[in-house]
Amino acid sequence: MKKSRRFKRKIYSLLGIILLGTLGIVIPGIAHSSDTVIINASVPQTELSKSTLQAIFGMRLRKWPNGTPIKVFILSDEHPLHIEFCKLILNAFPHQLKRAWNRLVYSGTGQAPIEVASTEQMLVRIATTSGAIGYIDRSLLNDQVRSIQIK
Amino acid sequence: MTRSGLYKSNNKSLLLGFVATCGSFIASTVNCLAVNLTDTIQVHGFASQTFIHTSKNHFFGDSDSGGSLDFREIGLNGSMQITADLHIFGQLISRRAGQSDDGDIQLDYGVIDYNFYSQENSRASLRLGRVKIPYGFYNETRDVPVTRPSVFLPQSIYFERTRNLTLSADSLLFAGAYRTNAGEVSFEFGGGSPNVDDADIEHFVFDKDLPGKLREDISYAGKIQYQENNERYRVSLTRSQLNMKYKQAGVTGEPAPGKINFTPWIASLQINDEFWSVTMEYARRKTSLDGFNNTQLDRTITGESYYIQGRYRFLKSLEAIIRYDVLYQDIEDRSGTKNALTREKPRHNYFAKDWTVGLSWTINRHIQLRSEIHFIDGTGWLPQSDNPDANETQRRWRLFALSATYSF
Repeated sequence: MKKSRRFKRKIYSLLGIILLGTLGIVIPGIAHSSDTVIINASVPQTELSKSTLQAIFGMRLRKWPNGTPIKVFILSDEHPLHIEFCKLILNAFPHQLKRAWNRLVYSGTGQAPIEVASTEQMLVRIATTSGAIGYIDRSLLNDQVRSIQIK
Repeated sequence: MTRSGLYKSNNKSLLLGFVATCGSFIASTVNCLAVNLTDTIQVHGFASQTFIHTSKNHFFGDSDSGGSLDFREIGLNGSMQITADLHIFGQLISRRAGQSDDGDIQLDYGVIDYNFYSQENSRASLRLGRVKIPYGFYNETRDVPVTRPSVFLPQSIYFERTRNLTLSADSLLFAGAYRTNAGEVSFEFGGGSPNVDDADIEHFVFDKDLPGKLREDISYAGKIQYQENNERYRVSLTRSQLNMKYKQAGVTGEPAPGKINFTPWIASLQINDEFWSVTMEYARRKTSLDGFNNTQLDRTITGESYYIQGRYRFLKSLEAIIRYDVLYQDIEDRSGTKNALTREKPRHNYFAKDWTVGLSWTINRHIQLRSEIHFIDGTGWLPQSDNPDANETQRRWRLFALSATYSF
């Protein structure tokens, strides 16, 4: 009797640990993407609101508070990192952003973001372009660019 | 028939050559010049060819006898950031569309944009030059295939007859926006002179081509829009007043030099999701003619248009569209009976109801194929220039279109 009860308790606590452990892994995985927004070191901002970030990537905000023109860099529509960035960080869809950029470009009211071919190029362009903003997988961050907090 | 072109001959090959030159220039610039140049200058363009077949009536060429290839759109635009606050934008377009557009190269827009106020949450700018007229969701990019949801925009609102009038105007426009955490309110207000030298506009206004000419008067347009920051919801309201006057040709029996006020307003709503998008627009157009000393001409008539459109992306590259689109030339005579009696035109000339189903296939980032079929009751938006005699038009007809577009 006692033995089996202890055994049951062991099983339950084991299940509990597995469950909590899984949640611990899964929940941060849902809430945070592995992308991080990066900027050129010349940009003084340390954090941006989500709506400001949406306006920047929607190509509606053209300059930083210090007057430097904002240069937006993106990966191609098909790039998994671009899709993840749009969905999880901007809460938008890649095809929808593309439509918004087309509206600006073809009505003469704005410019499209600058597309780069790879994550390596993204890092180089952000590091060397004044006022640049883009995104990268957190694991690829280097000290040439600055990661910025999104509120 | 159309606005005077910049070049009269060989315009298509000229523009194509220009597109090719720019393409190679950009390619070489990207490869060998400093990044600064390409970060401030952008060039985009497109070329599109459409095949049209109609069961009856003419839409862009002799479309009912074996089909028509008479719809071709080519465009090239450039933009440059001069300083953080100063931009210039320009676009050339060659559009061949049956009898209503002959393919001459036109300056679609050419604008200096000065951002005189910019804060994190608000901004304001002045735009001077040939500016696209704000009108509903699609007017500013109506000639650019990749920005349209289908081969043809809903014709009840974006119809051919007054297109030159609503296209662009030499004007000064004020634009402002204010953003909150949820969304952005933006507005545009401008005044200037639109383009009215067009026989199709005379047909729209007078129901016939008069001996004299229409001349523009100072006209106004204003638009207010709210959209969520991720564009899930977009709503807008546009009101414009286009003023024209009649210039007599000096022949006997001609009407007096009267004035024409064309005052449309349009309400627009769009809801976007990952796989689908729903768009609705409703428009009312009041046309007032006054001072012609002619009971046939001096009158006020109000037209009405609306459509509801659904788009569904069932694969990443494949999208289906369905739309129901309605136009009435005169809200006091939706069946066209009264107008038909007094103007000697068939009843169906005064309305149009169009069911459209279509498919878009985006093959790659540059090439898109589209196909659609329209089931139409009425000829209310049929281009007059392709169908000179309204009495020869048929009430019930179908339109099939297949288009290929290249863009960069």
